[in-house]
This record gives sequence, structure tokens and C-alpha cells, in this order.
Amino acid sequence: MSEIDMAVSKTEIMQPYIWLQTPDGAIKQVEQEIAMFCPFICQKVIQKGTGCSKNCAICLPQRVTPTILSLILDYCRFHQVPGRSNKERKSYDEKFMRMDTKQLCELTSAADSLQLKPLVDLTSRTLARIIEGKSPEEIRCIFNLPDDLTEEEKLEPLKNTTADPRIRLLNRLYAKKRKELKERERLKNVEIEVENVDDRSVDDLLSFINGNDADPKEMKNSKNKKKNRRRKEQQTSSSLKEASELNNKEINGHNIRPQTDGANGVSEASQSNTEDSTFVPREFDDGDIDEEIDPALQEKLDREVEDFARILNSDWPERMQELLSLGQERKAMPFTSNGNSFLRRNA
Amino acid sequence: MDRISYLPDTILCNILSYLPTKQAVSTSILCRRWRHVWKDLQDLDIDDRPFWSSGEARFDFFVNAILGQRNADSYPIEKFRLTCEKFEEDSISTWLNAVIGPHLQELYLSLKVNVMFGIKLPKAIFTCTSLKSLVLKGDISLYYGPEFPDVYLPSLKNLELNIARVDNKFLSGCPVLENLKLILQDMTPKGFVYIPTIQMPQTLKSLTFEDYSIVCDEINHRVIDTPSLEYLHVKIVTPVFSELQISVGHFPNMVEAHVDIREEHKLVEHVCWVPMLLQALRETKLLALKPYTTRCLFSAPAFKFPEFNRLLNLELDIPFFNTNFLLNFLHSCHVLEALVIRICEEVYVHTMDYNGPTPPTMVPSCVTSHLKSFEFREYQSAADEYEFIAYLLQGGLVLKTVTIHLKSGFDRETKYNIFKDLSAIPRGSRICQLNFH
Repeated sequence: MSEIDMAVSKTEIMQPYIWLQTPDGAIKQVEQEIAMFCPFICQKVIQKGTGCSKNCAICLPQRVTPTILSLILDYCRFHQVPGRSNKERKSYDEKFMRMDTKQLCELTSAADSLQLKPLVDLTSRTLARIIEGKSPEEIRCIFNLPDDLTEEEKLEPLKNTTADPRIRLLNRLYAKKRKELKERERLKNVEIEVENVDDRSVDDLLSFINGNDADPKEMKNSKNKKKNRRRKEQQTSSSLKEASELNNKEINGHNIRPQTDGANGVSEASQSNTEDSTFVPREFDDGDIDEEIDPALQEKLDREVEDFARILNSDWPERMQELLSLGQERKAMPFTSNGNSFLRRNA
Repeated sequence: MDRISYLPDTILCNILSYLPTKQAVSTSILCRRWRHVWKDLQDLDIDDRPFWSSGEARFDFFVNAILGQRNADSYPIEKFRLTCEKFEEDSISTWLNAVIGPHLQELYLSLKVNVMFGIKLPKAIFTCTSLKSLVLKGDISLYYGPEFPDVYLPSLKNLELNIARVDNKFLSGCPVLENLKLILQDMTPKGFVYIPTIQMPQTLKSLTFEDYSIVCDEINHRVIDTPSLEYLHVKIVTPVFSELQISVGHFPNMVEAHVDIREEHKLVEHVCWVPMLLQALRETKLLALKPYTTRCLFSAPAFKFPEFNRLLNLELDIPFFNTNFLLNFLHSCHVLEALVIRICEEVYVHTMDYNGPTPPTMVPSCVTSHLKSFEFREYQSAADEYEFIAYLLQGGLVLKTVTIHLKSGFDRETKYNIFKDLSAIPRGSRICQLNFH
């Protein structure tokens, strides 16, 4: 940047006023130090040089209407003064938040588009306080929410899952552990290649992260241990794997066939990827998990998982019965997989 | 028209993050728009209280379902808060396994469960490099074998431990720790857990330390060498025949210090390191001493008060009133602005003697130039108490408020006379107001 450019931009920055344009076309002149409190405006001034005159007023985002803008500027005007105590600021915020919910939401949206995080948090907290402790009907009433869920859907969220959520959770856990292990292995390989100088300490740190105080030799042994376990587990889980493969095909191909539909419903793949949606705990090879989940519990879970596999592989009508009876204490609802309600409660 | 649903997911989720998780999750039945918003929540606050009537199975199911159904991959949990006060909760370990990971920043556990020795905390927590704040309260077990696991928590700034067994390794593995609240419980009813040494991390700015674990017939060592310390709240109970060694450094940045040292042996009232601790605290701006602590100062041989050059606020709980002690103290507080004295007669003393020197005859400089407020609690209208108050009222040239709390038990008429007498004392400061409670 040439000297003249720098001098020009300096005077632009020194300007006491900034011009802002709201979506309705109106242009407003605002004191610079107040407007610059908003990161969005700050950015526009510094990066693009706009706002220094009426002709190049900064275009504010859609949601910043003139009323909302003046509210936001009031907020900025108060808070940009450095000398205020926390008590003063809190008390101002409390008074500032006295408005109807409609305006509160508009203010949240506008503050968000101007990247004014403290105000977004303030309005969010206020909205949360409004929601807290109220029943769904009351909340719908306050915010005019449409009651557009079916009765079935309303009961679904935490009550529908006929698969023991603990199994699903554990499965997720195993997947996560697997990922973590892979990551550590990768890191370790990279590190060992790169680090030659301070060799010992890196190894120490990595083995330490891996959960043992062993030196590299012992680490190898533990790796072998993991391999052995994996082989063992693969044998026992072959039958389960069949079921899970069927499962995968179903999810990927969106085929609705009686046999796999139950499986799909049971595993309830919502937004998670296929890995997470199977409930076969593959690769039981993590030494760390062994330490953390005690063996008795692990056996119990293995048994539970095998139960499910058995259920999957048996005939469909019988399976339906079993599955329904499993969830009976929680008022099991039918699967609404793929929105087709292929299986109805009264089947 | 729907007033709120047009807001983007991130904002809706931000709103939910200020709600207790149970309610946040229940927004999924409000309407279609809100169905999946809760699944992006990265701050969970789970409390078993709303489930006390529905039962443990319901609570278990609830937590499993949340952890299982939320979008864990794209929105990993950053803050997890779990309070369980009623159930037996063998699932807690599983939940913690699901939660502890490379994104976890804050973990708060407060557990009152019926599990012997408590819930075992997964070892992975000790190497959770993203963790900034950790609070462990209640029935949580840190026992993994004879050797405590290695701890490396490079981001941990805030730590609170109020659990049965703590090892010094935990503290030494936190290289940037700033705030520590450590409560070492008395283990004698449950079994003998001897913690020989506790060494406070040197980076500490704030320390709350309550130690009930000192055992007899063993040497207990507590090291508080923390030069950045600004806030100190220490309470140590030492039983009979115990040997407690305290090492302290100097605290040049001390702002507020509360000291409660309790020696339970009635015949030994003097705890030798209390004067040393006081010396280390001489730069503090606020000092609050509990009665057992001041009892040590009364009986300490040849104890000379350190010069409190920055002390503005002094709160003294003393076992009995003694003018010389108070005057000596005031002579060493050069800029004192507020003084609170409370007489705690319930504290046993062997003799009501003060072993210190006679104070100088002139009025302490803080009284004439700095003291603005004075409060006296449990006033009994004894002669020396009366004279001391008179001394301050007359000598306190910048006094603004003097508040006298009368000890209970006086009848109305006596009370009135006491007030009258005190009010009649000529005041050195024209703006001085006398209040009674």
C-alpha cells in the first residue's frame, strides 16, 4: 500500500460517523465507535472500506430492520463504554430484555447476522428462561408453533426405540474407540518416522497416551494381544455379521423387504452412518476398553447382543412378537421406518 | 405466524443449551422444526431429580437414548454435567466412556449412589488433553490398583475434588492449573487412607483447601508454594498426636486469605506454623482468621506480627477479648480500612492470657488515617470491650460507620442503657455513624 493509500484509509478510519443502509433502503448515520462494536460492520469498514459516506453506506443483512437496528445500537452505545462495572452491565441487560417474544426473536436473528455474540447469548438466555419449566402446549402457544407432529411421532423420540438403547450406545462407543485407536496408530507411525532426535520422550508420550508405561518392546506385545482378540471375535460374530450385512444392504439400497425391515427398525438408523447403525460390536480388540468395562458387564452385553442377533435371524412374525414384548414396559410403538409404516401395530 | 422457528439451527441449539437437558430434549415434540434440534447440543446437563418418582429404569433409558441418538460425530459433547443422587447407576461408567474424548472440555460429576466404593472413573479421563474443567464430587472411585495412573491434563485450568481418595499425582499432572478446590475427607469411618504429601501446583491463582484427612502417628506434609496465588481459603483439622508439616512460599499477589486452622488437642494450643503462614500472607488485601487460628497467635511465644502493608480488610474471630492483642495487630496494619471483630466464646482456651508484648502507646496510624468501618459482634459490654470501642471512636478521625452487635440475652432496659452509653462517647470523626443490632 502506498503512503497516500495508507493516509486515505487512515482518515477513513478516523471518521467519526458511519453510514448504514437497512433493507428498506433507508440510510442511517451512526457514530463510528458505536457501530464498530458490531463485528460485521467493523469488518466491512476495515476490509472493504465501505460506510465512510452516504454514497457507500454499508448494506445491513436482511433481518436488520430500522426498529431492530436502533435497539442494537442502543445496546452497543451502552456496552462499548469501557468503564462500566459488571453490575451496571447486568442491570442494563435485564432492563433491555423487556420486550415481547416476537421482537426478542427478531433481535436474536439480527444480532446473529451482525455477529454480535454477546447480544445473541443474552437473547438466547432470555428465550431459554421463557421456555424453561413450561409444558409443550404453553411453549407452542407463546411462540405460535404449529402442532404438526402426529401422535405417533410425538411418542417416538425417546420411547420408540425397541432396541435397548444401551446396546446402541455401546456400539457407538466401540466405533468411537476403534476410530481413536486408528488415529493413535496413524499418529504413532508418523511420529516414529519423523522424530529421530528426541526419540525416547516421544515414544514415552505415545505409549503413555496408549495407556501403559511400557517401552516400545512391550508395546509390540500388546499389539499382538489385540490381533489375537480380533481373530477370536471374528469367529464368534460371524452369524451376527450376516445379519449386519443384510442390514447394510437394506440401508444402502432402500429396499423394503420383510426380513430386513425389522432389522432396520430395530437398529433405527437416523442420521448416523451405517457403521453406527449396526449393533454388532465389531473389532473387540481394544485393550483399553477391557480395562474400563468390567468383564462381567461385557459378557452380559455380549449375551444381549447375541440375543438380538438370534431374534433377527428367526422368522419375521415371531420376531415381531419378541420385539414388541421386549419394549412392552415402555409402550412400544410401531416402527415408522422410511415413513412407510410397513409394519403396523395391529399387524 | 411462527415467531421463532425461522432462526437457524445453531441459534435454536444455543437457546436449548441454556436449558436443563431433560427439557431441551423434550422440545423434540413441539413441532416438526424442533424435532432434531436437540441432537446438536454439545452441552449436556443431566440430573436424576426429575426421575425420582418414575424410577431408575426410566432414567437409565433416558440417558442411554440421549447419548445414543444425538449427533455424536458432528457435534461431540463439549460439556457434560451429571448429577445423580438417588439411584444405583451401574450404567454411569458406560456413559462416561461415551462422553470422555478428544472434544470434552468440561466434566462435572456429582454422585450419591449406592455402589460400594463409588463409580469408577474411566482412566481415559486422566489423559483427556482437551479438558479445561473437571469437578468430581461424591461417590467416585479413583482406585485402579496399587499405583495411581499417570495424569497428564495439559488444558486443565479448573479442578474440584471432593471424593474419597486423592493422590498427589493428580495435582502434579496439571501443568496450567489455576483454580483448585480440594476437600480431603476424613477417611477413618470408611478405612484408613493415608495421603502423605499434597503439593499444590505452582501455577495456582485460587485455592480452596479443606483437609480433614490428617492421620495420627504419621507425618503429613502439605506444600502450598504458589507464588501466583490470589485467593486462599484454607481449613485444616489436625487431630491429636498428628504430625503435620506445612511448607509455604511467599504470596506476593494475595488478595483474599481465609485461614481456619484447627488443632483438636486441647492441651496443645499452639500450632507452630501458623505464624509462619501469616508471615507468608503479609501482602494480602483481605485477611479473615477463624478463632482456632487466632488462638494459636495468642499462645505463640514471641510472636511478632508481620507488617501488613496492603491490608484493607481484617476479620478477626477471637476466643476472648484482649486489648493488647488487638492493638498490636492494628499497629502492623498500616492502611487498614475495615475491621470486624467477633468474640467466639465456644472455643476452648487453656488460659486467657496473651503472651505478646505491650503495644506502643500512640494510636495506630491506620486508626487515625485510614479506618472507615468497624464492626463488633457478640459485644458483652465488658469494661475492656467498652474502652476499646471508645478508643476507636475517639481516635478514628475518618471513621464512617461503627456497628455493634449485642450478644443475645440482654433485657430491653439493659440494651437501651448500653446503647446510650456508647452513643455518648465523643467521636473523632464528624461523619461517624453508630449502628446497633
